[in-house]
Amino acid sequence: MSSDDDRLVTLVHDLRTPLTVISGFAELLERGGDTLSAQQRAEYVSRIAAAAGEMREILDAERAERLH
Amino acid sequence: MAEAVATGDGLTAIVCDDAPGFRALMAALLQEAGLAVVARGETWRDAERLAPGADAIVVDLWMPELELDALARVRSGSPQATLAVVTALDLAEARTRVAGCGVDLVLAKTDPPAQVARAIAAHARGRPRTAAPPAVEPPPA
Repeated sequence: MSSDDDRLVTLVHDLRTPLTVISGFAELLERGGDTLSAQQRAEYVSRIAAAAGEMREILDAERAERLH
Repeated sequence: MAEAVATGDGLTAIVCDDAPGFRALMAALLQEAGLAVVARGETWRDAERLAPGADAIVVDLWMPELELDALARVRSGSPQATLAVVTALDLAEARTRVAGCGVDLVLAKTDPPAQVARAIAAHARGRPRTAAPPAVEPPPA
């Protein structure tokens, strides 16, 4: 396996957890509907935003690495 | 650092993962599946401290390293509990690594998370209840 392949495997691995967090909290929001409290709704949205930010950081770091 | 969360009726669970978002997601989904998530942690030390008395123990493998000795201690300290590993590792590799540690379930973070939580809850319901009270931490003021 080439070093590019290794990096891709690592990148995919690192993106898995935040992606699962985004999809999981999105599902909770969808399923919860009106039964969720405002606090729960705010927390879930905040978790989604944080995970999206984490993915952005991972991709930015990968891009910076490739430009070097 | 471990954080206290709300308790509920019925079976209890703890969740230890050093990824805060996934930890929170798993706790929310386990609650939805009917388990009372009594504590969360982010290290193997947290897992060892919080596990006794819980009916289900849910741990990541890398917190931040894989500590098989700690995993075995968690198992030996809670022989009746459901011990579930939820990992981003390839499942075959994860199962090989934890073989012999007494893990009941090895589940993937890439699987639908609600399905993962339901599998853990179903397994916990099929086991005898733990005798000791769960390691509940007082809620923050």
